[in-house]
Amino acid sequence: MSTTSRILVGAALAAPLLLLMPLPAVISGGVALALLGVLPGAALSRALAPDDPVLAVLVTVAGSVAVTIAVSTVLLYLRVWSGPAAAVGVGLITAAIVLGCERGRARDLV
Amino acid sequence: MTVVPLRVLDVVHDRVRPVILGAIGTAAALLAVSGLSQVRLPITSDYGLVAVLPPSFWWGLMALHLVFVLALAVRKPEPLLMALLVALLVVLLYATPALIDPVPRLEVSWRHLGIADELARARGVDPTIDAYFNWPGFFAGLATFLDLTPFSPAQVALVAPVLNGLLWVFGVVAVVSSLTPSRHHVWLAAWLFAVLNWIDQDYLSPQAFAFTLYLVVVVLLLRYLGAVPRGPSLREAVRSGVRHGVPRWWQGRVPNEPDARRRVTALLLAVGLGAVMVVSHQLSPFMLLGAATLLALSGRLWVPHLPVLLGLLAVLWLTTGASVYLAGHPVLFVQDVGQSTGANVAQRVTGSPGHLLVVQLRVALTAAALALAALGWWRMRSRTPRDPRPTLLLVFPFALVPVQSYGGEMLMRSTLFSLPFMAYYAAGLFLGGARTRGFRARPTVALVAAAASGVVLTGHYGNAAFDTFTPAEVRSVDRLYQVAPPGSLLVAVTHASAWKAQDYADYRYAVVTDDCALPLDARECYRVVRDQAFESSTGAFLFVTRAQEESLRLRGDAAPGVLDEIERLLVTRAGARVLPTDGAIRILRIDPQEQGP
Repeated sequence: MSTTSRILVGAALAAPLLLLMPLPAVISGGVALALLGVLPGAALSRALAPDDPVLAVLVTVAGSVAVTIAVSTVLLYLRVWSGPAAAVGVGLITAAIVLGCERGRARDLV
Repeated sequence: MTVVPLRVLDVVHDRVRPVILGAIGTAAALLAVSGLSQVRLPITSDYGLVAVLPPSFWWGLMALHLVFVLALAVRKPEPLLMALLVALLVVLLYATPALIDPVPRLEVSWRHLGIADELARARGVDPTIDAYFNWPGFFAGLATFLDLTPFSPAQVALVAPVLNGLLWVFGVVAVVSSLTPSRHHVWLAAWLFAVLNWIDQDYLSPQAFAFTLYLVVVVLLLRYLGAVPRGPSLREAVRSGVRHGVPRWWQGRVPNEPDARRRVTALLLAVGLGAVMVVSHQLSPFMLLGAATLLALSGRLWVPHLPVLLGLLAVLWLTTGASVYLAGHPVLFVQDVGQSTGANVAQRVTGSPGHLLVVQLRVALTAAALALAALGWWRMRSRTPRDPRPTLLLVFPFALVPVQSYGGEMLMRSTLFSLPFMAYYAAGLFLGGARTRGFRARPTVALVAAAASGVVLTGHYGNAAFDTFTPAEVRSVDRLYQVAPPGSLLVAVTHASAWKAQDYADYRYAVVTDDCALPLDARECYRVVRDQAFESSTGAFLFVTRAQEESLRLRGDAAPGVLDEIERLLVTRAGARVLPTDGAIRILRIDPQEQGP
């Protein structure tokens, strides 16, 4: 697994745990913004690998919000929604995207 | 004497010029916003925000337009500089109200906060509440965001317009980049999109985010999922025989993207984003479905089954998550074109002279954008190979206008979805039909952009007298929720109210201008409000604010004194009591047991 993938997976799994801790508002806000607004979309953008930096940023932001929406909607319909639960869901999906891409790349190399 | 080689001068010029222009552009933007603290609230002009902006704002905005054309007038525009200038323009056009007024504008912004709050409180979805809870996706995401971040709901609603504006304009950059390699064309189209976009849809809303998703998916359809027909054109294929020629033409398509894995990734991403659109907004998925279908039928989509997938997603949601709403409201039905057009245009053209001018300017700006696009299309038609995609994507949104009036807003929504492609063609008008290395129409573009900015600010914020709220007005609505027990009927005179942001499902709502014939007749409307209050077991609370009174006046929905007469009748005949408040709001309590003539 590449270093970037390890960082993404690590951040995606750590962020929900950090949000459960009593951190200063600035730090917890930054972690939440990263988890909900950057990490999932960054994973999607890495999977797509656009050569256009504008598209990469758009996919990062829009993709992240889209994943947050999808997870939150599912949790609401299952009647198990809470902010921390949504954070865990977003983190797990981000990790799954990254791991899925790594697996695809490994298969291509083989 | 030391002679500096010309090459060194070129390098210095190429490196220093963007920095200098960037600094001047930033200074222009700072000049524009510097005087905004002088603007006093409430805004009372019939012409809205544009009438109260200080001269420094206009000087700064004009300077920014000039810097933009200078930045574009080089062989290779510097991308970081262009991105900075475009971002500064978006800030000036979209963030100005937030820099003047510390509370979010528009009733609908507050309503959307209330819906997210309701979902968070209930931790589940009740589709019987209203239509919003049949497409709860965006609000679910908003609830999560508000729960996990330290931002207040009002702060999020306040910054939403500029964030949406930035996402849209860079979405247009990505879309136009997919249609032309000319960087001049890309940045000019983005600039024109910003100065032509009067459509007030950038507030915190599912449709604003859905439009961002639409732009991203369109980029995927144009780039990674696109196809190019090779061999004979469709016209030649039809001439050679529909039965054999068209399938041969279809099978002769080649994908734009040679990497199959990237195509699959783009397809999965497009379907995923489409699914999020389906659960978040009624209309936007159909815009995307139409765009994908047209691209497929024109042979420009490598995955022709994508429209089928998107259609299935939309139908699946309509028959499951949105089935409650669909039971009483047909999604699409063919209307009389005149009826739909009337709902979209004519019924909006009433009110004070200032308000009428604002509405007329909106119509004029849309017509001007279409005219520029038409002229640009004409000028670009000699470009080979011809690309039908931007034309199809420009025209299609308007095809939905006869099908669904969407509460009188379909024309406006269609214009927004069409605007990126109008900007694409309008930019082509100023750049010429053939590929150009430079940009010669600088003065014209600067003038057009400056003029359009003034008109777009008028059109966008022309209703500022009643769609912006003072902090005191927002606080005063809290008083309403303090005195009205859950289950009560809350009655606003007009929609210009910062209400519904809390306990959304705990109250029932009525709006006088929705339930009474316009212009308001005092006696008739008094009876409507009285009967609504008497039918409510917990009574009703009619509340009046400055913004509502301005809305009545500017829209011409009531003659002077009619509202006072309605209140007087409610007090004298229906036993309504005027509750004590701080003065920023009037609240009448109408108890059901009080009977009157």
